[in-house]
Amino acid sequence: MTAARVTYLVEQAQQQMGRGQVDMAIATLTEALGLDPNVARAHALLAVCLRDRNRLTAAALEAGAALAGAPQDPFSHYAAGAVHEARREWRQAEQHYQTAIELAPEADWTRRGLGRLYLVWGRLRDAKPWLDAACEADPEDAANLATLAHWHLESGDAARAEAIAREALRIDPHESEALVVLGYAVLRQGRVDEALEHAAWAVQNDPSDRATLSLLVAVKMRKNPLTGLWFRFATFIGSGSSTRMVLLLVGMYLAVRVASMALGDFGQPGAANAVNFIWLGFCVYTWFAPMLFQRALRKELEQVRLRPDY
Amino acid sequence: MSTQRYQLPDEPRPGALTQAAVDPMWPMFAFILVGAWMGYLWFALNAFALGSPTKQRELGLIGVALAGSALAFFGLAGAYESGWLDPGSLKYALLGVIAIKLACAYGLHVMQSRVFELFTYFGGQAKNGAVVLVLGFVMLKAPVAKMLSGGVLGVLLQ
Repeated sequence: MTAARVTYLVEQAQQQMGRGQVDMAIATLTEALGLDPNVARAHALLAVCLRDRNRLTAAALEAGAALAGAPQDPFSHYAAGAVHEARREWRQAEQHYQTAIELAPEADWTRRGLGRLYLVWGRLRDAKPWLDAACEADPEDAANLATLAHWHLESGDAARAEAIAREALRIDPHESEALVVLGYAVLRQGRVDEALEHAAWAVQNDPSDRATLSLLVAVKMRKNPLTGLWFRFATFIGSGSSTRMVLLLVGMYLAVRVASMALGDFGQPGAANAVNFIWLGFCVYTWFAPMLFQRALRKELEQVRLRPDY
Repeated sequence: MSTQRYQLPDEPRPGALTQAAVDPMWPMFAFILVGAWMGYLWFALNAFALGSPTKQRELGLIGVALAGSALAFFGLAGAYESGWLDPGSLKYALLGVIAIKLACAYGLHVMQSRVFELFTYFGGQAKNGAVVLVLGFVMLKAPVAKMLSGGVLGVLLQ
């Protein structure tokens, strides 16, 4: 009787997680574990839920309990990987995801987990094969496509990201990562009004998600004449690899310094000063605009408070 | 049927070091406005405060910045001594030393931004670094600059 009830509760929690009802899933899983504290799958699911609610210490304990109860279950390793990833322990996360892949070589979600970790880590080249493999394993899973679209966005190919995100949304119109990626992809291509529509849709879908609210703030910043220029500059600088970004920024600095010094050498001190002042103004502007962005995001986050029973 | 509730532990308060975590934009500002010395120190502290998984690489990059700028400086000084560079060209060539330091500082900023994003995404609270920056600018910039002026250390750390 108890075993049947626990099984039912674990299944119910999985459905709640699928609907984004994380707090309800936590309540269901704690009820299941109150009946039988030795159900490894319940511990693993609880670890993922607690991670999503930023309770990383409790999540780590639950992931440990899942691994202790079922060390050969790939989902235990997947949950441990997800928790280590959030705790910024990326080497351990990598090991657990790799073990999960070894234990479930046909599964798509284990490969997506490792690909996503590399994406967060900034190891774009390492991420791509795993994301491709996840999509190959299950081409109809919207989450796989959404993460692949995210990879293309990070790699600076907004058009490709848009196409893949649309494909993901065709399969699941509520896939929140795909909605956010589509919004950013459209915004980067300069279609601001369309991006605002997607942002509104994404917020409606998941009003408490930080990534969703970041998109909404990004659209507002882009529409604002004061911060729109910075947004375009940041998009240009940030669309590509980190090396490209560093080289562009250092190159700009060197170009301005050389121009200013050369103008001084050619007897044009006024022009040299003008170059220096324009550069200073540009620097101050690019320093303050991100602060405005962060402030606007904090405001949006403060406005959103979900009912605890949601 | 009586159900015993499964107890979840409360989250511990963040440690003192974690409470010192800041947006890497602040160490970057310190690098530009106060001096490379403060930027490097703050980036290093922030790597530990954020629990950065790339902290070894970040500390290594600070080492590369110091070693690279020293190497470039001595190389240029040697070229000047040997007559390969005249004073007019030397001032342009010295921009290379600044470029090395700046590239490393941007590299540190990029690496820490990635970790910082995750830190805040999962509920980490960052401190506002403005007060430390202003204190560094008002109280430390001039005396440290005076202490370092004229020497190789000045070129590397300012």
